[in-house]
Amino acid sequence: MSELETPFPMNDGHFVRLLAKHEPEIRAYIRASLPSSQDVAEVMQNVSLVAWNKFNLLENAEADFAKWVCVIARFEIMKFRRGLARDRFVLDDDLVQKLCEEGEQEIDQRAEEIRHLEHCLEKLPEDRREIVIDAYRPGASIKELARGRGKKPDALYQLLRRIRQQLEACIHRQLELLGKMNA
Amino acid sequence: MNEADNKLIDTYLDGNLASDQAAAFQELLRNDPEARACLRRRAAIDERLTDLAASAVAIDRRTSDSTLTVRVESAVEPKVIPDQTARGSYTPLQIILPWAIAATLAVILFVGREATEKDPQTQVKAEPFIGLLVDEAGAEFEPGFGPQDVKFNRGEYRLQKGAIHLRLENGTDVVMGSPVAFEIHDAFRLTLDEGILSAYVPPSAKGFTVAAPGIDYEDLGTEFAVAVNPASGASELHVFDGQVDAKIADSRSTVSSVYGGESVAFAEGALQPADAPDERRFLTRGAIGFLRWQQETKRRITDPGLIAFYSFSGSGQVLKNEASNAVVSDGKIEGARWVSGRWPEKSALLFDRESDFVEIDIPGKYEEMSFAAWVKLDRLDHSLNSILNSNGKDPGDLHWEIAPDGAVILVRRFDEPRVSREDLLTIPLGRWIHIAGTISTVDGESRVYLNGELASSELGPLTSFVPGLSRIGNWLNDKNEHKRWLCGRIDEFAIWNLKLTPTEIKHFAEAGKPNSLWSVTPGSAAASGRLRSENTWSDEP
Repeated sequence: MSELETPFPMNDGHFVRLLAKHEPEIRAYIRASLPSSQDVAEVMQNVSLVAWNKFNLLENAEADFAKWVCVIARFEIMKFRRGLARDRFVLDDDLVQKLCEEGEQEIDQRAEEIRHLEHCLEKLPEDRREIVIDAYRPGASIKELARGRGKKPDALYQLLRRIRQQLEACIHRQLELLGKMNA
Repeated sequence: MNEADNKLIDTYLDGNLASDQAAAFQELLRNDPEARACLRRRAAIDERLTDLAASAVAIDRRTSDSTLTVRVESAVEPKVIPDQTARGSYTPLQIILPWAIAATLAVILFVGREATEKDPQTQVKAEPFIGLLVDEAGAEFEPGFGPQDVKFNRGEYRLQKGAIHLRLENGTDVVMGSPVAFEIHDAFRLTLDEGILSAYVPPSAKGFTVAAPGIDYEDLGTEFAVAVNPASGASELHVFDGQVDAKIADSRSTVSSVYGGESVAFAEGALQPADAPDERRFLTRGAIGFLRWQQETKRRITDPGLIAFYSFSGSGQVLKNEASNAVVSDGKIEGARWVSGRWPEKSALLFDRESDFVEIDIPGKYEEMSFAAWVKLDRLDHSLNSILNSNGKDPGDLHWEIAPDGAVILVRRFDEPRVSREDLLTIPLGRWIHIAGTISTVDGESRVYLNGELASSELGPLTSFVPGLSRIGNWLNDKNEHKRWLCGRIDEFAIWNLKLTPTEIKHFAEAGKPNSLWSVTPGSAAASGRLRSENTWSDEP
């Protein structure tokens, strides 16, 4: 038997699958309480490690994984905030707790929203989709992006804001339509 | 919430909240549950866009078909590990980890390793790794020289059979066909002792080096291949795109900078220009998909329930039924032309005229049937667009068609009542899609799947199926008054005399996907067709 015929370890595979499935909504949950996406990446890494380490303790993994990871994330967010430089703005403890508590209840809804975001993004006119993707690329600068497109930074910022509002409205509309269809 | 509150939330998420706005922002969140809910919603959008843009960058570096649509769709690839309980046997290595999982875990595990070093209280259950197997075709390693499951760490590897696509944690893709022997030192350095590898190196992995006997090939963000002859120690470097520096191993002094389209050979201490290589020697990421499909096909055609399997591998006017239990006739090709399929090496038939079709005879009477095809649609010109139709319209006929909004319909009952129908997903244009369907008189259900996901289901009384003479890509009706020919390509078609399970269908979709980065999210039925007008963007800049 070749080495590769060793069965795939179920725990690792199971964990990977669940994490891959729920990562977007977990990241979203963390993002609401932290000032930037870079912070989310750092907290997410810690959260993933802790979750992996404790995965054997989770009984009903299929049903409870996302909420369970959120509980871990809440603890990691609080820990992370304490390590941030004093000159950075962070939300007060009570607000973070509140956002997390409410966010945990919304985790399934968030997953749905994210799923629809991807469809809504596809519906954007190509030039707008390009603007969004370019603006969110790692290291992107609104100033440089604006210069490249012959726009003023403020105008581009406003356009981005409008596009995000459109995406939000599109998600809302899609969920509403699905709700009607399923009613 | 007013406009000022809205703006405050956006400003916070953009990281531009001024110190004199902070108190007002916190006050708003404290007192207004809607503001908190809004923040969470927008944070989700913000974070997902960040993630998609980062993924798009990664994919942009790797794919030649780099339209934004493709990049974004690839970035939102469904993350699926096939269930191993499906019919038929497939090895653990056929577990295909999509790149997104690979990237995620790579980050987790690398940080895990660092965290363990920094914090002894943090226990990591699994070994960290440097690379992950993202795709393979029949791969077999020498015992003791293979990866741990799908994880590659520092160490020596010897691939004896098949081909692999390995992704390193810095984003470098390495594709190798057997026999190959290599050693991974870290994500930026790999020694090739024997065989051929192709590397696709993103800018983030600039400096990635393939060491061959006596010489290092250091990449500056590009695509290249290295071949090493284990007997003589001679090596070749072929740069497909970008620049690679050849450096003497000991001194690390650059001997030559090799640019896209150039080749060099190193033997007995001397580096010489070399002839352009035969590119067929070098595996691409797509070639692994083709190999995987060929191997899967060999296994699948022996399934006794499979009564027709058209691989579209031939030429001429006959579409050969390659199933071992070939109950259905070979196909007679009329009009449809041979073109390329999912991979350059694979053929497909193009249907785009009224006179184009493949006629097959499906003899017998069935209580259950399943169908699967790989299709790439160019247009949906007609009120119904044929995939497979029995000639005529009699009870027991088969009718598998696509509506103009992309909804796929399997078995339209002309004179029987419809109990219920639910469309969840629609088929998009211009992309290879795995489309499958099952019908059963036992439970009265017909189901359609797109890329392995349930797209629609319909309940209603069904009579036994007697398909008889049928056409792929068209419909022959009495008065020839209904135009329903297909506009697009088909490069695989299969028919079973049983009802496939969702797991089996998902497995077939995964096994035939064009490459490891391929992903298409079918459209949402709610967002297409009759509802499309509600989703039109109107706020132009």
